[in-house]
Amino acid sequence: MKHLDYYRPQSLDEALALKGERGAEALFIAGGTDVMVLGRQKKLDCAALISLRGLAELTQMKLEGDTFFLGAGVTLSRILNSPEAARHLPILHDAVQVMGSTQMRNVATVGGNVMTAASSGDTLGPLLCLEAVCRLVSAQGERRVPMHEMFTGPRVTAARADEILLGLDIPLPTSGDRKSSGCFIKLMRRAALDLALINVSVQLWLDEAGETIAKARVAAGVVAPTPVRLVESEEALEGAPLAEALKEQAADHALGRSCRPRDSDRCSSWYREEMVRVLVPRAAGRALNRMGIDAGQVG
Amino acid sequence: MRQVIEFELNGQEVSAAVTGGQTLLDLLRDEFELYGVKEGCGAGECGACTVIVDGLALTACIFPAREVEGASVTTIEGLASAQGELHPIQESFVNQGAVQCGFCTPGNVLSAKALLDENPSPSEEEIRVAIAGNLCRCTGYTQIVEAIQDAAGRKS
Repeated sequence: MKHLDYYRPQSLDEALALKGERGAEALFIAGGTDVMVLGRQKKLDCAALISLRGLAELTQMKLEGDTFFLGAGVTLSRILNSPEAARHLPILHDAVQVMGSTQMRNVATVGGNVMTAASSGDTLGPLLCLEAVCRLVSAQGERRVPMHEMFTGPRVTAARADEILLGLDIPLPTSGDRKSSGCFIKLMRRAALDLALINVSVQLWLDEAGETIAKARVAAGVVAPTPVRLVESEEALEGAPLAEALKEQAADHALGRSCRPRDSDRCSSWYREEMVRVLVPRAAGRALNRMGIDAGQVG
Repeated sequence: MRQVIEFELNGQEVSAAVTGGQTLLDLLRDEFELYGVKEGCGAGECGACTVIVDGLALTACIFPAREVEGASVTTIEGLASAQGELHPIQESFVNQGAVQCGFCTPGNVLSAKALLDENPSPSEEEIRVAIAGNLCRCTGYTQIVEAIQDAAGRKS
């Protein structure tokens, strides 16, 4: 790995030009918490690294109207320490809280988590539930890819090799008068520095009267080759009166077509399925609690 | 391709020729002979190589050396005074019995320093979060937490 060329472009245009020059032999590196580990394991197949760390375009985090823009280069620590993120996007805030360690969160970026595209990536379920849109830039310009179209295979995204993830446009879940909240739960063997055995994300929107769930987004990680939405679970929650919605329905429907965990050395598929049944209603209950609704006992 | 970079290391302006894939850990140990920066897991998971870069604790074993260009880096060697007087956090670690085999100590002290610089009177929970990335296999966490509380008490 020592013989790599390492570039530190100072602008997005410069980074794109370098990628144009070096082509497939160059990889982008953001925080490096994935890339450097692969490099040290001699699993990195490239001749050059192009660092995205210095790019001002990628490090913005701001609320503009009804859209929360999260630059790809924003570190997990910055999200964790952002009162705006905690207030508007509690589902994402939950996730960064249990990712890695302080040292890791100080350098790891949300864009890196998206582009690594591991099934266990903890920000991915929340971003799926929030219906974030990936803004990809290349020399040809910018295109927008919705999160649910982003993950095409294990560690594979819809982004082309010449594209840089600029950031994510997140429609504010509470825009207008809609009541909405979410919750993320990660099952780990220890409290820090662990990959998820599974993770579950639920974002709920209430109807105007605040009596039924108008819209639900449910996602899970490490239950399929990519992070997935659990569509059957969403359908079971939508239209349901509040407290009853959680008790049986979500659990029964959580294991839809997209949920097909496998055995790994970390835990069994059986355990993962059982935990999806437990954690989906639990996360939905906590999301309701956050809207001031007593959802009863939900596991 | 070697590239000469300049940065601040424990308060002094330094320069070094680094290679593209070189880690900050290798740079600090091999070029500057700062052996207080320990290599444990080599994958960012044990915290033994923790250093402070521009105020933030990070694991040097997976941090590209090139990225400290223009930055300020603090290792454990930068804490005690030139006369050998210990930093208050180091003193607290000694006094509270927070040092056993010593391998995790530099990382724990630097995680504590980054925390206290940012938050001079942290709660026990905040201390535990700050050092969650520093593994101690002698399992002396209680003393480490108490040492950090002690250091916070002295500062304020």
